[in-house]
Amino acid sequence: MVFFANREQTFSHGNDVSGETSFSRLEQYAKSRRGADTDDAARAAQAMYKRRHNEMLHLVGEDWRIAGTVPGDDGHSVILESGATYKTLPALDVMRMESAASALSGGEHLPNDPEVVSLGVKRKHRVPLDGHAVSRSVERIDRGYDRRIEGLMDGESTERGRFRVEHLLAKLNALRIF
Amino acid sequence: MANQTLEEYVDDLLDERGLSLVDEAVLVELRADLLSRIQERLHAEMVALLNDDAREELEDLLDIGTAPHAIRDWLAQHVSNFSDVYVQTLADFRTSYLK
Repeated sequence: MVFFANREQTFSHGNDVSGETSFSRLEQYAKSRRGADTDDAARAAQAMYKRRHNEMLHLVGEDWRIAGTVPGDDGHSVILESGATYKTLPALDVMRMESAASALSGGEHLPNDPEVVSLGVKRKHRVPLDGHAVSRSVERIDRGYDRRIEGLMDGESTERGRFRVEHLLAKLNALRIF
Repeated sequence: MANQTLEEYVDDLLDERGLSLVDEAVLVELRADLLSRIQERLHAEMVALLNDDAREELEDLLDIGTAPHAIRDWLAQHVSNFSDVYVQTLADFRTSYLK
């Protein structure tokens, strides 16, 4: 909802929102935040990008898939696919996918955008599942995870300690241990 | 629960959530996504229970490319009440997901 309210402002800055560019931006972000080396930053960025992507799938509804992105006059658009039906979400920045998708799945807060309203209404008719409830499930899981991580970080008295814990978790998360 | 693989556990969750009949491609994504989240949660719970020396040792093992199954064995040996933590984490995850 925040995204759509600020849409014109957002794209007046000419954001390039292709997956590749966003990935690069995430990598830079991860690198600056973590002070990590390039490989670590790339892994962190990849994990962040993947999570954003999956979050959007959860939030939009389980029978819609992200088919790809295409460049447009005001940035890249995300193409959603459901069977033989395609819908376009205009110029979504990957970092704003979550709020946009939340607006989509929330129903009562659908943004005043014909394309998006159309998708929201269509989803209600097509999807036999409660996509909104599913998204809440994932949100609950992620909130619990975030609290756990915050607790872990709070247990560290130094920035170096927090950095090491974060690093350790990133390395574990990059593997399939369980 | 303890004898289930994580994949089986996730499949049961999706089934209970009524999502096991969605398009196969979507199901694959949902399964991978939940699996990833469960594992991240397990990692966080395990790391929280390790002291500084153990964390350092674990990081060394990861840095030299120790196989994932060996890391799991190491965690089983160094995390107090490993089995209980594992089962409780999955139970909490299930509660959050199905609530």
